[in-house]
Amino acid sequence: MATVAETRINHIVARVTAAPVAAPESLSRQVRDNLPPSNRIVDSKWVFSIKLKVDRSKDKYKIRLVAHDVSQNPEDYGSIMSPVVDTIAIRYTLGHVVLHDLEIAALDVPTAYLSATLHKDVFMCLPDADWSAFGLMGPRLYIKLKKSVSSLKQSGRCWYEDISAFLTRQMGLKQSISAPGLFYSTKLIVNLYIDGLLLVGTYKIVHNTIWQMRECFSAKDNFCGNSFVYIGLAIYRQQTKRQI
Amino acid sequence: MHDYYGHSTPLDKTIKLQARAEGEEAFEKEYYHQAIGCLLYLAMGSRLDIVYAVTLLGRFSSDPSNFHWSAIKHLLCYVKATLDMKLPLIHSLPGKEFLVGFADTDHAGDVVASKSTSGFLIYAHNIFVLWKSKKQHLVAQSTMEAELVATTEAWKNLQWMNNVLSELGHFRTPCDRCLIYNDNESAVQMLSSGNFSTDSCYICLRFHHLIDCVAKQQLSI
Repeated sequence: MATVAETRINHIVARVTAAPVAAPESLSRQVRDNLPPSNRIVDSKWVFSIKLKVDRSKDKYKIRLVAHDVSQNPEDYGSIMSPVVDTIAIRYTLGHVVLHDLEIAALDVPTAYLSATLHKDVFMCLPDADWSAFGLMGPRLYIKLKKSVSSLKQSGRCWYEDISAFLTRQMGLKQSISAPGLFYSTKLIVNLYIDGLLLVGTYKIVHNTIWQMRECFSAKDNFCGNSFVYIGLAIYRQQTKRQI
Repeated sequence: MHDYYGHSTPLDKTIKLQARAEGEEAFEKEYYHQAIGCLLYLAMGSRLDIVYAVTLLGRFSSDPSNFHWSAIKHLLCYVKATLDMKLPLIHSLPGKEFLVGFADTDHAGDVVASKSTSGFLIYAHNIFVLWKSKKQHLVAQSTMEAELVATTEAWKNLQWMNNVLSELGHFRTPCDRCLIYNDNESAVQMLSSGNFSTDSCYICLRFHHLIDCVAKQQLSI
């Protein structure tokens, strides 16, 4: 039994060093020498899941390092609310596209929560594994996080602050007051649902924005031909018939 | 379910759903909740024709009986029969208003507490954006009152839509007129004339708000 578990862990560590935790910013997490008070240390563990495609076939295996947010001290997170766009606005945007024959694109930001900046000090206990590849040794390791990890209480909020600051300052969009997940300018509408963005506008502007998003967030473009996936909705488009 | 033939209505018109009677056999809650959950997802996503039926059946999910389960099976058969129906996103409506709502109720449709259920649809720029069905929180004493409650609900959502659209700049003028269609003549009469008869003077604050909006020409009925 023990050997099975061990091989599995070895296998995972090998994969981890290659892929998900190694998002560029997450490597710059700082090692903390003197320990913080024990009530401020957050537990963490590995979570394995299988991501499915729209037709329920296997897409890929996922592995994530998640924090145990229940053990978080209330002092270490402030506001945790992060607004998202609602279906009404999405439906309206889709209709708007058809009416005015605009360009539409869905963007997905991979490891969005890992790249969000933390505003408070969070100390996390690393799960048991071989961390020597990162220069970390010892039985129980604590790190001070610079960037957020999945399922911290505030990680959603931090990501939302990052992306909305990007959209409003760099892209010059205005945030809607009555529908906070909606960003707009005269030629572009952006629907924001956590890490999924739906861009609507003229061809030139949409592709310009996609290009900028790729630069800043290494965003993935879900737009392939006339069908794409946005927050779990499969959207098919027939431009000639003006159908979505 | 494979052998079932489809039904042409979401609910059986001839039966009134009631709470589980004493001694009546209870149905397994877990299955009931799963079915309601799946149907609700469908109703919120694109099938507004089953919204009313699902929300009505959902009210019994704390204590379902076999009778309620058969109503769910009826609904599933209806969904099966209408699987290839699609919701067109865009309609061309008569009239020039940018925001159009439709409001209606079943007066005292709920047998348990005699409350009505209101429902409404909203179009923005001929795009079908929103539908809702909700049990009213008061006991409406006439069809007119029930319709007024539904109209107020629709109007509140229209105002929100109005704010969003004027922010986006999709209005030519910031305060374009909205239009709500209602099929109850006395309600329409009362709202457009602003006159109360002695019988209807008990109707409370928010309906006066509605009348006020009509008088200011922000809304037409």
